[in-house]
Amino acid sequence: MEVAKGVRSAVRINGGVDQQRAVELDLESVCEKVSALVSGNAVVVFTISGCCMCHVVKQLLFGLGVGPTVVELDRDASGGPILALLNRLAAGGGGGKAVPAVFVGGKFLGGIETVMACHINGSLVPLLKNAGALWL
Amino acid sequence: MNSTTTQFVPSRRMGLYEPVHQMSMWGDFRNTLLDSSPPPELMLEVNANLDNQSEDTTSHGTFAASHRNDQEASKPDDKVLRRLAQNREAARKSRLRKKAYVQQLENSKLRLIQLEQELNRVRQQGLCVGGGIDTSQLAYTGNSNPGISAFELEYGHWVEEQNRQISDLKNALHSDMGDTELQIFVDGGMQHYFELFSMKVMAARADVFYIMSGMWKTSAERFFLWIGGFRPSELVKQVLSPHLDALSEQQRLDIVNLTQSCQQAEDALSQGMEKLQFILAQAIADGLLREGNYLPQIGAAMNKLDDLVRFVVQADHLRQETLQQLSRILTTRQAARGLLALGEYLQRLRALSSCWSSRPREQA
Repeated sequence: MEVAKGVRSAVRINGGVDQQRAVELDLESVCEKVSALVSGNAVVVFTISGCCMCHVVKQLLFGLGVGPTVVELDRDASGGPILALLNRLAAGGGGGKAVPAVFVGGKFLGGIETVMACHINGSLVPLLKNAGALWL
Repeated sequence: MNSTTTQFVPSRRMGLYEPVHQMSMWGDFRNTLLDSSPPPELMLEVNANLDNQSEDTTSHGTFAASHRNDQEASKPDDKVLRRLAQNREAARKSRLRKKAYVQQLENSKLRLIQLEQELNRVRQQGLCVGGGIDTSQLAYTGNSNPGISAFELEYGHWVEEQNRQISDLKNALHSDMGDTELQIFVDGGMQHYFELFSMKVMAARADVFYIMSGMWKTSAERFFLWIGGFRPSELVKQVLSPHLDALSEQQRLDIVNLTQSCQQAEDALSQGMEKLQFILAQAIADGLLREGNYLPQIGAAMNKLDDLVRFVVQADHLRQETLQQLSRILTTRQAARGLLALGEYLQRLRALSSCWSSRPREQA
């Protein structure tokens, strides 16, 4: 899975082998979990309940006619580890916030900024259609 | 002499002066003569002279006139004394009124000097630079935030540069410049807006409420405020679309799609803002009427305000993405015209603000 590979290489770069192996195992299980979620659903959005920017992303997708799978990390048992994973993804992408995090068609798309940019430049809707999230 | 006009009042009976007018003229003459309260002896002397003169006129006047004159002559002291007293009183009141008026003028002058000094001092601190701050904003001079002062200074320079770029662009479009050269102007114009967005993000981190209230903008610009700036969809619809000519079918479609995407993104951001307002209000209103202080609520609210900065960042990002998408859709010449239209539109808004703030005020 793309996400897991990206994260593993990021982790390897960051630290010593012993310490990182333990973290890798944890991350691996989280990656598996996340990968299962995102491949099973066309659009997955990871949010935190109080976060207003997460609300923005949800409203944008709802407005387009998309019914995303929303995972509220503060209400989920494995919310903590998933958030850590998302933090790494965000850091890799250039320093945005971890949430909201949007996955389309099993792949990590990005945060609010990326989603907005894709929508304005016209690439979001085709992406959603390809993933089967939109039918028109 | 205040009765000279009555002297020549035309009468239907030719050659006959209205005796009453003539008498009043003499009376007034006496009054003005006696205005400065002369000593009694002189008064009598003058009276005697006047009486003689009045007697002379009776040969021209009617019997009624001379009769009246005799009446007045028989009681000169009472009426004259009363008139003298009245004149003294009137003069005194007049002097007091004049004194009060002059005092008021002096006070107003001092106040004006104070206000001018304050204005100069505030201007020197760089708080009134750029965009035409009208007097109603002087109330905001309590801002000692260095990040904001720096932003205001920079914004002043930005507007000056903007005006220069607009006239350069105008000249470039009217010349027979080629597209490659024109593209340089377009790129420069776009870059200039992107610089403004970076400036605003930094200022938002210094004071997000300042940016959200559009404090650096002129009053008319503030009327159109949406999350610290313009609504990109409105700019595309109102300012750019009507003035883009020779659009191909594909371009037309692309512009329509862009407008729609903008609106959808704006709506999503607006809904997020509403949620933030709700959460903030909830945090502040928590536990009203309870014992103890409100510090925990204020603390909770402060944390939520970080989210507000994120909204300003995303709104400006949306504006930037919209401009970039436009530059992708349009040809060089179309983009140049679009930038010029936008620049002129903003100039007109600023002009409207100036005009508005210097309009003559109606007296209440």
